[in-house]
Amino acid sequence: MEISCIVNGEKKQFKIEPDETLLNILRREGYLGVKRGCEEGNCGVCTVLMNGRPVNSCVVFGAKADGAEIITVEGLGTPENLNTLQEAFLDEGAVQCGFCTPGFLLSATALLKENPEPSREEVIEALDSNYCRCTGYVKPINAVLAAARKMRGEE
Amino acid sequence: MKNIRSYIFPKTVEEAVDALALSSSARIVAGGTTMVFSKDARVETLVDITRLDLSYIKEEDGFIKIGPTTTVADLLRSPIAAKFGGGILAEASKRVAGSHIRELATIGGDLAITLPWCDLQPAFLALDAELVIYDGEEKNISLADYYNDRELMKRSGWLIKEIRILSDQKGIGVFEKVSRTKIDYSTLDIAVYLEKEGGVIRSPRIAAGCAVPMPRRIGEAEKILDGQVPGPELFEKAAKTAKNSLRTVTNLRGTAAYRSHLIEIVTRRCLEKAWAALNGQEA
Repeated sequence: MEISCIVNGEKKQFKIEPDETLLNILRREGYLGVKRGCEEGNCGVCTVLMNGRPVNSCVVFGAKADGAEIITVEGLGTPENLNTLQEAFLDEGAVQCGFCTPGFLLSATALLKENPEPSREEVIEALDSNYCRCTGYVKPINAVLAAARKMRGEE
Repeated sequence: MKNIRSYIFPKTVEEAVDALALSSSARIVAGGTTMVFSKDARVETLVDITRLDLSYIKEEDGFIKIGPTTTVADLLRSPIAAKFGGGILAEASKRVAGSHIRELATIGGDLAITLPWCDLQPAFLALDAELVIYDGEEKNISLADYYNDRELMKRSGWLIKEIRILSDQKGIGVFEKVSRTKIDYSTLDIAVYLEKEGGVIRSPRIAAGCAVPMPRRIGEAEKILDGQVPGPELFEKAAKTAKNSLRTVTNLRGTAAYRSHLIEIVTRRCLEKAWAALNGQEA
């Protein structure tokens, strides 16, 4: 079957299998920032935004993306021109091996859009679906709070 | 191996039910978070019901009406869930998986199937919810009866068209989930609902999920509470009865004996909390 959707602002058409996951489709189409992890909806490395909401793309039937707007990490800043959140992850030392980072960035993007002034607890809640085996979470949480302050013009 | 040949978005409820009735190889997809793992080779057609305008939460005609494809996240964000029955629906929604799965998983999906991650069931049972089933005709069935209706559960060609809760319920509900980590599958879910009239308990409801073979109300314990003046001994007696009334299951998240032990403790705690809240206090 064929689906059309908007990925990172670009109109796309994909030929897909009816039982394929969104994760599979995106990786096949070259969005390699969407990582393949547990494929059970637990680890969060495959997180994308679908119509603005953070979802595990490994448990989304690709057919559901028809007509949807998808944002992957490729749709945030570029290596030459990182966005505020990405900068904050670097500044706060929130990136070690980096495998989980795209997922964290997208979860945090959804949070900050909805809630520009999150409490520490709200950040923890929003990141509850992203596993990180390196940092121990403190630094990604700090990074999101720092980015929020910066986006509000407080730093 | 999976054998899926087509994935369709019916345009009306009628079309969806027709597609489901047409072939035993058709299955409903709502959030899809369970179906996506299905290895059932008999399934050939997936019928996605999320584009039928069945996502809503509203108060109307004396009911809180919830569309089956409303996501758990939408329920959690809704002002009705935060307020109604002391906020039990928000409390229960908050404990369903993690925030990302909640954006996909639906209320209808959570209630329709009985799997260990369907944490909403006891909360909806405690609020005496009913389902509007559609198979060409509408039929109402209480959620409690639904879990006993194996015929219906096995049959295809129907869907949950709406979930209804009587809105004129002035009591307080309390939900507790016991799990090894915050977002793990449940070891035990308990929900309690109490009303207060004069100094006595009215309309007590207690429901359990996940620890038991099927989610269910615990009528044996409810009877003990109805019309009584509450106190530690009464709650103790009801909690012990709840424990003794339920057959529990063993799996890697807990033994049957451990779960039985938990039922008593958690039921008592929920009863204390609900009664305290009815009296404007914290337990």
